Amino acid sequence: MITLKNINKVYRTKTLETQALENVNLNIEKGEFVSIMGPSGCGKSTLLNIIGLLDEPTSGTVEINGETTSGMSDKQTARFRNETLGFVFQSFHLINTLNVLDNVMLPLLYRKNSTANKKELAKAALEKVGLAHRMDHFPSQLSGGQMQRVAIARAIVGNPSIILADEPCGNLDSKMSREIMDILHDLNKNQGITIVMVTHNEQQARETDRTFHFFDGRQVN
Amino acid sequence: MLKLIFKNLWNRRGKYAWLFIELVTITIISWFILDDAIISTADANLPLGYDADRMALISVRSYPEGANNYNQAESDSAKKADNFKSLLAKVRSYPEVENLTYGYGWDHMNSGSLNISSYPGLVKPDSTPAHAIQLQFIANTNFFEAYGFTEIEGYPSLSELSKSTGGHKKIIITKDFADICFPGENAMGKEFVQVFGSDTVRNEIIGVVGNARYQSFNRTNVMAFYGREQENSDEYEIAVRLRQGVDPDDFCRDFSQWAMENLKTGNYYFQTAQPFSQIISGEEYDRGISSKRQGQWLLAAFFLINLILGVVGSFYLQTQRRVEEMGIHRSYGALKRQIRAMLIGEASVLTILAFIVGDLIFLQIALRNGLSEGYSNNGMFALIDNWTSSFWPHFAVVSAIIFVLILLCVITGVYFPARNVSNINPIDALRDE
Repeated sequence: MITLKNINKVYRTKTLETQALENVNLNIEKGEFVSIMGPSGCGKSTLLNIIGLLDEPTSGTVEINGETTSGMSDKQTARFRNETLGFVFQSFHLINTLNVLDNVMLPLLYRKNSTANKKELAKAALEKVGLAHRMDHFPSQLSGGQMQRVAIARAIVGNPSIILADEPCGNLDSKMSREIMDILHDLNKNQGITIVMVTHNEQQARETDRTFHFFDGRQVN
Repeated sequence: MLKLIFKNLWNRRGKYAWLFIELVTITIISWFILDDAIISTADANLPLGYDADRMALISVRSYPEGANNYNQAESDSAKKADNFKSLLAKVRSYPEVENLTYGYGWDHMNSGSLNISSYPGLVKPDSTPAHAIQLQFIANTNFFEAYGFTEIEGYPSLSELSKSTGGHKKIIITKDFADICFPGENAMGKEFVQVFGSDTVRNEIIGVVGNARYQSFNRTNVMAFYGREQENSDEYEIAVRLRQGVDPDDFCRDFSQWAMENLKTGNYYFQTAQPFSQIISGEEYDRGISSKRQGQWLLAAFFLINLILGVVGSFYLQTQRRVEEMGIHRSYGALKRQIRAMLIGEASVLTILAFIVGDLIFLQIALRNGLSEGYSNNGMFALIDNWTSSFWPHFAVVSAIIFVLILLCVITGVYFPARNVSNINPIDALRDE
């Protein structure tokens, strides 16, 4: 489902050249829950951004669901992200001036659903994460775990086939982290969503189907 | 998207409040700056009612007695009349001249002299006196045809009216004057009464011509013409109507060169030739009207440029605070143009709401103090059926113009910060907490 071939990412400034990723080859099957681990600066987030089409590799190809993503226009990339991918960030990245329901509906803004349909889908996504009763609240009125659950609802509202989670439990305590992991596992097992998760937590990594280890931009397993 | 725009504006009302107040204030101030400028420009662009763009004025003078070129033998009245007739024939035969009329000194359209006459109405004895600008013309000189006035159905033709020699007793008025004084009626044969001390003059209306404006900057449209027999004069102003396609500036230049050598007849000599456009602009300049109008628009332009710069600054700060939010939108599939549309949409809706409030506030001021009247002589009838003279159409039109200008300035001002934030890479935006 996700195939990365000979991915290289080099960041260049006037004076410096940094190899963030070097010759990365990955294959992630449909329905897998994989984790990416490594020390800070090893290129985990860069890899996730490339898979998520938020960044372009310097060389190499990314294939998702049989589609090669290099050479896509900005419009095609945006549409692909909207329809195929869902993002969960470490810092939740909810919009503080929108309530929970509006935050979850965000991806649907860029689709041609009716407003009633968008609300229905958003409510359904919130029910899956157990927060339908808080849909009129604002992010400032939620706990960290609840905010992350809203973020997950936002990620799944558009029925993506892939979720990319960048340290989803990074800012949460153990109890809330457990809740989040349970939701992710449930999405993976019961809905067949492919999940790629970056984590520092070995316990969480062990719960996934496979773990890729990175060091200095290179895959070490 | 529109619902999101309204939600964003509502949820950010605290942050946008001062910007809203600023836009309300700008709307009110815009009225004070732009109303006068718009009205005076609108007035200046009203149809003159005659073909000024095809006309030139040729000034002819007679050498005074004792001057070097003065010829005593040419000074008697019969000779003067023949000489002037001969001079006219030369001008008439000039290739680019289609028609001409002439008058004495100030007796031409848009001259600096203003002769306002009062015509108390006999027909409506309880009405206020009717005032009109009065212009005399020399009978049988193709006055109305040369200027290109409009014939009005139901009234004598221009050529018939040009022959009138009745003086004040037989007047020809413009159509609006007729409509004001005799609504729905034919004005032929109606009378005004003028009282000069112990003298009473009855002014019979013998014809009506299309509306014409004596002064280019003056909205007032009511005129009364009266014809008189020609008398010899030492000063004539010949208004020439040029053939279609002839440039008046070129004509005056070429004619002047020709006239210096060829037009001297008896004691009459050519003095100047000016396009009517030059006379009009000169009159406006001398009265300070064109400079006042320019000053108004310069002030308006300065104000609007500062508005754009102010909006750029205000919205730059607002959009910079929302970089992360835009990054989230981009990561979930928003295109750059959709980000720009959202931010420009928010600014536009805010402007519309602020404009409505500001306009309603100014309406209270306008209802108390009135709106710009432009330049019109006291006691003159304002042009009827013109939006500048009626309160609500005036208010609506100037509101619309001010709204469009403010909205364009705001959209221009917000476009640059919106473009900047939409071009940010989502990764960089999401890193920007």
